[in-house]
Amino acid sequence: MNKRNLAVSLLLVSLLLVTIVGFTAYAARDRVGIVLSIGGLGDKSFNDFTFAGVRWAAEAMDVPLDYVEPAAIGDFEMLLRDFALTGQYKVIFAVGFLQADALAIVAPEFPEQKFIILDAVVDEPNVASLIFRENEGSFLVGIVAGMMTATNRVGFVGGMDVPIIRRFQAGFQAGVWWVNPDAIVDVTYVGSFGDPAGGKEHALAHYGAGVDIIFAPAGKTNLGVFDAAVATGNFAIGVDVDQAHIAPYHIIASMIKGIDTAAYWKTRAAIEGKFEPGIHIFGLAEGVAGICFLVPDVERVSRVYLPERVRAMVIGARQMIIDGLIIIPDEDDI
Amino acid sequence: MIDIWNIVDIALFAAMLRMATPLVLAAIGGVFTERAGVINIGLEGMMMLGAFWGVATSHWTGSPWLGMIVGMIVGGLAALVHAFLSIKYNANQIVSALGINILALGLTPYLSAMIWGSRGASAAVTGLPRWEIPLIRDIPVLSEFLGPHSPTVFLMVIIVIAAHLILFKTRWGLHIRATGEFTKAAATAGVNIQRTRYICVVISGVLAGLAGVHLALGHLAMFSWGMTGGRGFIALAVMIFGNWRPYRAIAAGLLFGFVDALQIRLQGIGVPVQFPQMLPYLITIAVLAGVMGRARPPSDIGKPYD
Repeated sequence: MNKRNLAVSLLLVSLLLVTIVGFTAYAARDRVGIVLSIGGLGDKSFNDFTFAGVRWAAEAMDVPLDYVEPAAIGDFEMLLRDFALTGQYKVIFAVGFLQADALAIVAPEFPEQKFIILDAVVDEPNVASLIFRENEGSFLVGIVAGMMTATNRVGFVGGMDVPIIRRFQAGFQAGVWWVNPDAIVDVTYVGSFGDPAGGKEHALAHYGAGVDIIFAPAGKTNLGVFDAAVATGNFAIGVDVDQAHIAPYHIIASMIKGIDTAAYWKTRAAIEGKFEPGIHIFGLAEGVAGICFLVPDVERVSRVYLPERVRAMVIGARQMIIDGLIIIPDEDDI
Repeated sequence: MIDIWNIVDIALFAAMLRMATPLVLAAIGGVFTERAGVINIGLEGMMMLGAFWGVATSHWTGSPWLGMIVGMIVGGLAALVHAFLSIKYNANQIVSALGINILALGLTPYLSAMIWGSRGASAAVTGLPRWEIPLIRDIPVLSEFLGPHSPTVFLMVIIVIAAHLILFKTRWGLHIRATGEFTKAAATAGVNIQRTRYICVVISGVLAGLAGVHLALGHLAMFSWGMTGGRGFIALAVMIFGNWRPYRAIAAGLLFGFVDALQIRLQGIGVPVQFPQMLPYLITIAVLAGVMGRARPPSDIGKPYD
């Protein structure tokens, strides 16, 4: 046997090995895949925290995690299908309502593949839909804004005018008016989740009109709102996760949506073989959503609280919502 | 009941200036390159690169002024690539500029992740200071309109005037216009076509870079992925509505900025927010179609020359 034949046989054997390994993996379904939303990692909010939740679950169960950051809405369908085609994934996690249409097409093509979608409902037997009652957490920060405003005028700067953001708006307004029926709530929409410059102009217009606290569920656009709060010496409220560290002293509270916790629970359940299709709704009662009203105090490297009466009101309202004593309006009510 | 004076106030005009600045700067860049006969739809990408490198430089050195200079240089370098491909190799000018846009979109999150560990947004950096004009500072209404603003706003006004003087009052400006209007005649008259085009394309990149610096260091003090938000393309529209003339471009840019600032304030009046959001585009088209008449591009635009 000459050297060349040896090389060829080695190549063939290795190819065979790769194929065998490949097929073993095919049969195993021992990975977790996640298709992130537009904007990808680094938004310090939605994508980052969903990813964190899924990663915690994957690490806790010692399962490899693959992720992809799509550049455009048109990529979702192809990427979801690419993940599903490998047959290696125990569960594929689709982040964000923008993926709903793509998943509705891909999910029926792979009845054996389990999917989880966050922030949208896809009615298929192999899809678990995680949705959130954002209006509950928004109601709580609305209480904070309504009690803390010195000008009796608060603002809401939304990213895009879509049902989910309107759900934030409905809860926020209701919370403000629950404690302060005379307060004015100014509402504007920037028209983008990735335009901090536009967000800053909106916030400056609000603050210029006498608003002193703004709640801005607007993705990265809210970084511009925080910038305006610092520049004008006013206040803002963070969204989805605790954002107080971005503008210390100026972010007086954050509405916690609970995406990371919900993503962790449901991913972990799927890895453990306890996947449940259907709609899963998360709010205060489920223990994932809430409010963070700690304000970081950089100089003393500690965190300070809002006034006791505000916290007491928020905690009381939280319990009343859990007990079903307050019905919070949603996007259909405004 | 809407109180119109609550909507139309001095802050509205200050906002108009801030929002018009990046559009006008990039549009003036567009005027230069297209007057010389080279199309540059890469303004958006050059703006994004300028914004990114401005913030990165300010992050490393602590000096926003250095950031401004680096942002302009990087914008100019990106334009040089476009100039090289489209002038030296007669590449399709749309394709080569589009390549710059795609490069900026891909490169900035990659570098951002390397520098700040986040693809989406940078850390907060030192931004440009706010300037006031000494004498005007004491005049009540005017002082609110004209300051305090980022230096980039004042620079924009100076650049518009300078661009007008260069294009219409100097010999070199005549050469530029002749190059875009009737390249062969200009060449016969002894104009160095290649050099004129190179310089004008680079000027457009420098101004687009400055527009990005205005957004990232003048208006905000951070970079975030895709923060230019299509302003480079709106600048092209501003340039066209301005009929490839600096003074008209600033008028078009200010009109767009004014209506854009106005629509924020109109969102409270109880109509669906999509209607105010449309206004900047609708009114700019309507007014400029009526006032400016037909836009006429330079005749030899987009044609390679060797």
